[in-house]
Amino acid sequence: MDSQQSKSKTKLFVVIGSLVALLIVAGAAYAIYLTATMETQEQAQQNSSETQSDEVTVTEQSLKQDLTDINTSVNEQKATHEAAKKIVNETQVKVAK
Amino acid sequence: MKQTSLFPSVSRFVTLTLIFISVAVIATQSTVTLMTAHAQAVALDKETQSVVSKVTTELNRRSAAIESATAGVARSKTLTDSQKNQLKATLDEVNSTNNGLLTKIKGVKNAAEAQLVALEVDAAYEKYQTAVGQSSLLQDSDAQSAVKQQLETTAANIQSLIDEKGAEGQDVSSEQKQMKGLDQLIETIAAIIQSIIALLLSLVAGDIGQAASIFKSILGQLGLNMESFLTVEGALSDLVGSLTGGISFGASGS
Repeated sequence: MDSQQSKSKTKLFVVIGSLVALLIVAGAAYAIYLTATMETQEQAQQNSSETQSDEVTVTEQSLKQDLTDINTSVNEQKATHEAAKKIVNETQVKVAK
Repeated sequence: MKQTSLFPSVSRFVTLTLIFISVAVIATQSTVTLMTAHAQAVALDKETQSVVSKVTTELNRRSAAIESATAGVARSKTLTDSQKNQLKATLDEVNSTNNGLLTKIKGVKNAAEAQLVALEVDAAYEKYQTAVGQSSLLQDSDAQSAVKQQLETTAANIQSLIDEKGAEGQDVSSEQKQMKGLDQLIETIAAIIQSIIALLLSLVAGDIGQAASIFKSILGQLGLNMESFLTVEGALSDLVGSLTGGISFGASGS
């Protein structure tokens, strides 16, 4: 009887020990996960704010140049359009008598 | 006593005779050639010189236009390599016909031949005009695509500025509304340009007879696009002025 009780107790300790070990491992893993997630989120937020800051800075500084570039392209396109107009509206001059 | 040999005298006589004959042959040949050329020149002057001149001028004009169109296609930023090759093949074919006609007109000997070449030149016009017209309109569309892309980029940048001002608590509802309208207009222009390019490319092996009227419609639409560009450009400039508290840029210089 004593031997059987002893075996049962040992099994119980093993089971409890395993459960505790599992909980410790799971807790540690969760802690690591949380830390990693928080770091990523922080990094993402930081990157986002940096990007936003950069974009706004670039936008404000480059808008005048953007509009100047558009104006140049529009003028070039006008010239191309005029050339196309000349060709499309051309009337045939016959060379045979 | 001085001795003379008969042989040198005969030899001298034969040599002199041969020289005379050679000179006579050459002179006759040259005279005949000159007379023939003179006869041709007289014939061309009288009956065909003006036709030959007109035809040559027209063919040279077409050659220059084909060369320019081929260069334009090669420079295109929106066409794929396959589309460029397709257009180049059409232009090459027209160029080959043109060169053949140039060779023919250089070799005409009489008025009738010149007239036949002139008729061929007139008949080749439609195909030439279609190829060159198609290419010029594609260049126009290509240039518009480039402008459209710049407008999109600038509109996106201005939108960032609107968002920033909005986040700072500034009332940007009017600017936002205007920006929305401009975005829609840019989208519409983009769709029209895409349709035009697709239509022009579909004409590669299409009905040449219909091409002229289609080209005129496309040209009209591209003209309207151009006006829309100016509207968008001016409105974007005003928006930038409104958001930065400064003056408008760019649009007035067009």
